[in-house]
Amino acid sequence: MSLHVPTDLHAHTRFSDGRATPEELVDARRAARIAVIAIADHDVMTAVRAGALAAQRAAMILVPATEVTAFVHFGTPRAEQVHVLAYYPPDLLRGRGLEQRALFARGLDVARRWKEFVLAWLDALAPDDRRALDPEVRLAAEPPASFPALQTLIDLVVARRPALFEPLRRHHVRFWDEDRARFGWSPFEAIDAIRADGAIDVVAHPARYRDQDETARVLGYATGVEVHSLHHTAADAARLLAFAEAHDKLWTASTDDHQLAAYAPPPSGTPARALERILRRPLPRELLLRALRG
Amino acid sequence: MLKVRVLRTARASGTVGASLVFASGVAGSIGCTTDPPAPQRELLARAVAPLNAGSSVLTFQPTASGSYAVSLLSATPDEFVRVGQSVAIDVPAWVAWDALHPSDAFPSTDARLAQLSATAKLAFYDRATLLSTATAKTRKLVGTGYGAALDSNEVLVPPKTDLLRVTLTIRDAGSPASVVTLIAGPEDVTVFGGELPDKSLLFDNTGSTLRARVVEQGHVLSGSQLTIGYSDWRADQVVDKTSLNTQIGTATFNGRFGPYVAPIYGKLGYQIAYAASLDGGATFAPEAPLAADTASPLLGAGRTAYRAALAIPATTTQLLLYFHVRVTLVADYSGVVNVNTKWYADGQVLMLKDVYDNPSGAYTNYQFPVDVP
Repeated sequence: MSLHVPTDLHAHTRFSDGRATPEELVDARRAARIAVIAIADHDVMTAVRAGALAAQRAAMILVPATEVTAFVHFGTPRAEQVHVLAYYPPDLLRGRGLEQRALFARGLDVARRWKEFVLAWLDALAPDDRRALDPEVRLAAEPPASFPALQTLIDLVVARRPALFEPLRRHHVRFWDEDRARFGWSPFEAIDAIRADGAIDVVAHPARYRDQDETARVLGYATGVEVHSLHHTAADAARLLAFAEAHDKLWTASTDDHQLAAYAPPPSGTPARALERILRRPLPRELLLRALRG
Repeated sequence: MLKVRVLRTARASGTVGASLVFASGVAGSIGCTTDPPAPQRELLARAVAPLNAGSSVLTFQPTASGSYAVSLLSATPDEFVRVGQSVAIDVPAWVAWDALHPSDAFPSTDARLAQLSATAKLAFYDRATLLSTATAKTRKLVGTGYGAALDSNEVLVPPKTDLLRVTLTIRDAGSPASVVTLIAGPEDVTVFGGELPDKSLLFDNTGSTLRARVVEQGHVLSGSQLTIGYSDWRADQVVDKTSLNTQIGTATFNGRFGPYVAPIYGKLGYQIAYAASLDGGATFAPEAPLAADTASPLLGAGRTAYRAALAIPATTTQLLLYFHVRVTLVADYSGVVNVNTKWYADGQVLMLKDVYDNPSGAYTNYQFPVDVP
């Protein structure tokens, strides 16, 4: 029987479509006695440094990560997003190693593009609506890294102009659906890009996708499988675990928490061996002892 | 383990712990000897054992706001910097390079990085008064590429120090005209042990293990002021925070997939009190509250220490303590736009859990020997 370490390797902050600050996210996991965590915002790594600092103070390990958006059947009526998690070794946080990675630079570009996309939407609104959402005309001057990300923008719209929520909701998907250059990667291309960037690829919430045949092919190619996720039933998790073990895949225990409800940790930990592959180093002895004690 | 005696030769002298004097070798009005005391001298403090001031490495890092901060990279025997400790400075090579050459690409060879050097000026303060300064110079490049750092020689933290401030001057032998001075701040490095015989007794946890530590090491001293600190995370552990139901109603939220109804949660608040016996358990003072301190040096930024000051009489030989932890839920609906159901009145405060923190169940107490001056 393998040793499992309490983990949550997939969660979002207010820098994508979550509600928590990086510090709040870390604190919820600290209270739940999670030992190894990752902040995996969609396509950006803005929260990683702040999260790593908070995790260090709480004697936890943070794995630098991002959730890369890819598509199957891009540009067709069957188009569907498939997400692949990229995990980098924590050693990159010493120095600027992380900032040198291609997917980090891609994240900066995505944040810049998001700001342009939102400002274009705001500019197309009636002047009264535009003023209501940005009365001090400050958004255009906001740096991309601190520009309201998706959930923060939604909350702002709901608070100041509720009638614009549905128009925004319908419009925002175009950010991904119409940008083949940034998001039109197939899952296989995304996995290749992650590997070329020195990270480990794990397919996020595989049971969630509509095209399960294509998902099976992607899983066959991927390094790892996210077994535990809030999107998965116990039966999903059991099926994915069996797949991972039969095909010698690395597997992980996570939540994909967006702070929609009180934090509940995954029902199981991640195998220590899988975690050591992600971390690219042996687990600390104290952590293994803690896992042994359960 | 080392036991020493500290002797005071003049009544006007301040009180300094043995470990500090011994470690720093400071001469003057305070003597340090293992010989029997001279009859005319007044015995001030007895052994402070175990004596292990330890060592620490401070690292220099840029912050998001563009300033620089000094933080603890590693330390023995624990996470506290204290007087008598040897301190070295670690300057990440990329920090030094960026400060000197902000427009130039990071060097591709470690040989180029090895041309960088730094001199750290460490200023030691007793509250607002400058006690002394010391210089630490980097000696060698350790590691490679972005993981490379310049490591300095060690400097001893002198007695009476409460704060440590660091100023760093960086030079590049490959570009002699390039010199930059960086001042860390605004936070200083807190040093413990500068106010002996006053000490701090910290109750915190590591994971699920509760622990208590005299931060300045050794025993609590009689005739002193003792700061009792209780950490927020220990309180979380004692009440089993994750098991508490903090829901206060439901609301409609809006996300990328549309509106949805979800629970809303109130805010937890702690009321922590302690009771102490200073006479071996014959009598206990009534429970007294610990005050929440969000800027306590005991725990650092972003944490809350619950603190109180306790005078330890000169006659005390043993300190007994227990804690009383109450956690409340505040029904705060502000900030939630579309509340559907409120389970409680606005601002209502509910007692969620009321527990005692004893070492071995009810009516047991944490016990600490008190050294007689």
